[in-house]
This record gives sequence, structure tokens and C-alpha cells, in this order.
Amino acid sequence: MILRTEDLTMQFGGVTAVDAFNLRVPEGEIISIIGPNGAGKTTVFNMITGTYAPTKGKIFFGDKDITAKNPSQITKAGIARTFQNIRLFKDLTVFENVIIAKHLHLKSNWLQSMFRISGLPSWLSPYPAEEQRFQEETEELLEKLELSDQKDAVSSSLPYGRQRRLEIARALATQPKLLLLDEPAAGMNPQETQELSSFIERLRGEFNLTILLIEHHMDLVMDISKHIYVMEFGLNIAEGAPTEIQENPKVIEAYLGSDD
Amino acid sequence: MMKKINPKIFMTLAAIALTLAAAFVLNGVLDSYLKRILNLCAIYTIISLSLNLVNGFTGMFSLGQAGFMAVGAYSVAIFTVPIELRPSSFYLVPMNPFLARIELPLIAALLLGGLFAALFALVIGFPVLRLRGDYLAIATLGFSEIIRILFTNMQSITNGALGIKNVPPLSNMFLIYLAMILTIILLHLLLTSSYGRAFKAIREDEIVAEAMGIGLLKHKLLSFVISAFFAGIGGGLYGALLGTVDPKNFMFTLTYNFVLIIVLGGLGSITGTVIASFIITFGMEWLRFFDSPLRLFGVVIPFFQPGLRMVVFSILLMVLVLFFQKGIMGQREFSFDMVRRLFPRKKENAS
Repeated sequence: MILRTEDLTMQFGGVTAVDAFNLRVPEGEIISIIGPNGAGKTTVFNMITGTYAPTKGKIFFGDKDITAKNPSQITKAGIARTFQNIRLFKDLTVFENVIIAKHLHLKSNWLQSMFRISGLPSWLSPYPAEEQRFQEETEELLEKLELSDQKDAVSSSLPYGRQRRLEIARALATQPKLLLLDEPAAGMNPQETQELSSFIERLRGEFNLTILLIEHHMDLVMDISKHIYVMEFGLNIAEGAPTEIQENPKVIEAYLGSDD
Repeated sequence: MMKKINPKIFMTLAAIALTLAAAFVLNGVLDSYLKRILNLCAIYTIISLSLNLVNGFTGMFSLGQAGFMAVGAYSVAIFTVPIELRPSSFYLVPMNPFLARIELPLIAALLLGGLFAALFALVIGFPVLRLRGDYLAIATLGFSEIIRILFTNMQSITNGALGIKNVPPLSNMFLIYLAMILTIILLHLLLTSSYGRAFKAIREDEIVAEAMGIGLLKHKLLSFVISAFFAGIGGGLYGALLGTVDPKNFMFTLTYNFVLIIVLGGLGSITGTVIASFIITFGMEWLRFFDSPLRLFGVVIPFFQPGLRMVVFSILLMVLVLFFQKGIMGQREFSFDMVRRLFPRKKENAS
């Protein structure tokens, strides 16, 4: 298990947004969380990534307890995320957006970064070699995600689908082991969704990732997930393989409503 | 292997040399009034750059610059006044006997002032930088007033409200412009490094920056402390330029000049800050005629009286905020490519 939660609970005042959620994410798999709006899916993401400290329960990443660590520590540990509503650094270029996410790997301190002299051995001026590596890795990543043709464009000028891809590229730049995708297909048409599904599969193989996905597009979820968790009103009402979930009466009721 | 010198680096070095040479020559040529304004321009540039690092590049809203300047100015005043001249300032309460024996050269006192300011910033930064937006502005504003009140009351160190006189006057344009250029170079190096990118990420979106592994408190603190260091240096030069240092020089209203400069120049632009510092400083001087009574065709125009200058300035600021929200440069910087684009013909000749 790369990620495991124990009775993860989040209360906002009197409202229980997530109630005793037990998530198991095996390494190398694609796991999905589905559920109607307001079911608490994004809250689970926010607790895993440290944006919220859970009211109760624990989160383990590998063997490490990462409960209530702050977001930057969690990213350093190897969990990266994208956001439900695209959140790029809008005024910065595509290239800058991605290379910023390399900063957490920087070993030089700020003085070494300021007083950089290229050509010196790295124990004297370590920064230039690191910067060079960041630049190359960023280029390579943009190449892989087919964004290099627009690397100097301001990120907000990109078409919608590419902005989504850029957000994923930025998350990948932190070199995560686990990638959390929050509704990556939101606003996409059926064809784009289908492309996304093979894209996510490709990412998993190419970057040795484990992927945790929140999504509403059932085709996508059923297509690529190994295991699915269904949430409603903060409760985990069902879990299982895609075929099991499709036939589960509780899930059908949560999505379509019951007769009475 | 032969290494070709990058023409941009060559041009940059040439521009720096030219500025310093001009400062050196003008220092001997200009009258003291013009020299003083030009020196003030350079000093305001240093302090505005320090404020822009925090407000424009890191996206925080700090108003504490007057406080950090005071720390720098007092360091210069305390350590550079010749020992034999000190009793003439400290006639009510004698100077602290330990400090009374220390006299340092200006450069050492300036650096010390910068370091003290940075230390202050580190101490208050820890609690204060957890605040955001307006709250941070109020906290830093309050802090800068606290420094001023402290200095007003530390009679044996700062001579309290009487201030310290006989600070060896500094009017050497070369030295002040050297300080300005060093500030620009150092900040440019910082901002074009990975740390600079991290600052900009925090400015763009704190939550995302943190989700990308950038520690918020660490980087905000870094930006804040470096900013305070340069504000301290700028304050020290300011104190030396004035020749006397007293608490009233460092009222919180002083900070607004720098806020005006960075807004006019462009939040997040070094070039804009330099340009705006010169415009504002010269503007403040040239608009002085608003403050004196004006007589036209034998009639005294009633509005022209002390204070009108600030009214005009405030109106200019309002126009600016309404119509030029990004300032002169926005977030762009001067580059030789920009010049080349302005003169497309030259490019062919050069290459």
C-alpha cells in the first residue's frame, strides 16, 4: 500500500464532510473516488495533501505517518496534485510554471543561488549545474507531454485542454510517486475524455506512478480504474472493482435517486 | 577552447561602467542642490527595490520599510559620528559608555545597519508573516512605528527625540550610485534564480505554490529579511545624506513614498522601480512651486499654499491607479533585446 487512511474524518463545525473514510491505494494502480457533488471527495484530497488537518484519523504514505503535515512537506514526500478548477500561475509562461515545481529539489541555498558562477567546480558553486538539470528536465517533461511548442506562451493563453495538461506536467515536475487528479476531465467533450483516459494510462507507465482520481465521467472511471470508492454525504457507501460498482444498488440509488 | 564573451554581458558591464563614470564626473560638476536630488533618487531606488521584492515579487503587502530604514540610519548615526563630536548631541543623557567608544567607517556601519534590520525582520517575521494581505500590512506598519517609538525612548543609545547630529555628511555620488547598482545586481541575481521563481509562485498563488513543495514561511521570511537588509542599507545612506538622524524622519508616512514608487513603476519590475524612483523624487522637487503662493497678473491664486503639492501628487496617484494599473513597466524588465526591437535596423549592422 502506497497510501492508506484510517478512519479519516473531517468536520466543519457541525457538518461532517468526511466520515471515517478508509482508503487503500496499492502501488502502481489507478484508484478512483466517485460520488455526487458535495460528497466529500475533494475534502479527502485536501486532507491527504495537507490543506486541511483531519479532525480524526490518520494518513500513511508508505510507512510514514503524514497526517496534518503541511502541504509542502507532503509534496516533498512524493505526493503531487492537480486542482478541480485549473490553478496555473496565470501570468507566467508554460516553462516557468513547470520549472517552479522543480524548486523543491534544489539543494543550493539562497546565497549559493545568488552568487552563481558557471564553470566553477560544483563544490564551489553548485547552483549552475542544478539549474541546468532543472532546465533539461523541464524541457524533457514538456516534450513528453507535447507542450514544448508553446513553452514560452503565457499559461493563461493556452486552450483549456492544454491548461489541464500543463497542470499535470507541473505536478509531475515535483517527481511524485503518487499523483492525485481532481476531476481532470471536467469540461471536456467525450472525445477529449477518451484521449485523457489513454493519457492517464500512459502517465502511469511512463512515470511509474500510482494515481488517485476523482472524476464524474463514468466512462473514464470505469475504463481505467482498478478499484473504485463511492462516497455520498461523507460516507463511503461502496467500494470494489468497476463491474461490481456498476451493479451495486446503493450506488445506482446515490446517482439516480430512489423511487420513494 | 575559445570562449566568446556574451555581448549582453559586455553591454551590461559597459552600462554599469558608464553610470559609475557619470556619477563620478557629475559629482565634481553639479551644484549641491542637484547632487542632493540625484543622490536621493538613488537612495529611494534602493529602498523601493527592497519594498518591491516583498510586495511586487513575493506578493505580500508590507508597509514596514520606514522602520527598517530607521534601524539602518541609526546604525550609521551611532557608529560614524566622530567620538569627540558625540557629547554635543548627547548633552541631556550621556551616550552608553560601551557604544561611545566605538567608531566605524561608513561602509562597515552601513553593512551593520543592514544586518540589524535583517535581524529585526527575522524576529518579527516569524509571527507576522503567517498573516495575509491587509493584516500583514497593518502588522508591519505597527511594527515600523514600534521601532520609531523604541528609538525615541532609548535615550542613551539614540539620544531620543533630540536625534543625533554631526553625522559625517555623505554627498559622494559615486559611492551612492555604486550602492544602487550593487543592489540592482544582487536583487536581479536573486530574482532570476530558482528562489526568485519560488517568490513569484507565491505571488501568483500561495496555495498552489505550497502544493508544489515551496515552503511558504521559509520563502516569505527569506524575501522579507533580504528586503529589510536593503532597506537598512538605504536607510543608512539616507541618514548620512541628511546629516542628522531623528525619529521624526521615519514616520510611517515615509513608507508611502516607496509604495507610490513601486506602484508607479510596476509591482514586480526592477526597471520600473528605478524609473519611478527618479520620476517621483524629481517630481516631488519640481512640484514644490505648488506649495508657495502664486501670483498671476497681480492676483494671488488662493489654492497655492503649503500642502498643495501633496494634493497634486495624490491626484496623480489616483489617475495612475485608475488608468495605468500595471504601472510603467508592469512585470516586464529592461533588456537589450527590447532595445534591439525598438531599432530593428541596428541589429543588421551589429551582426
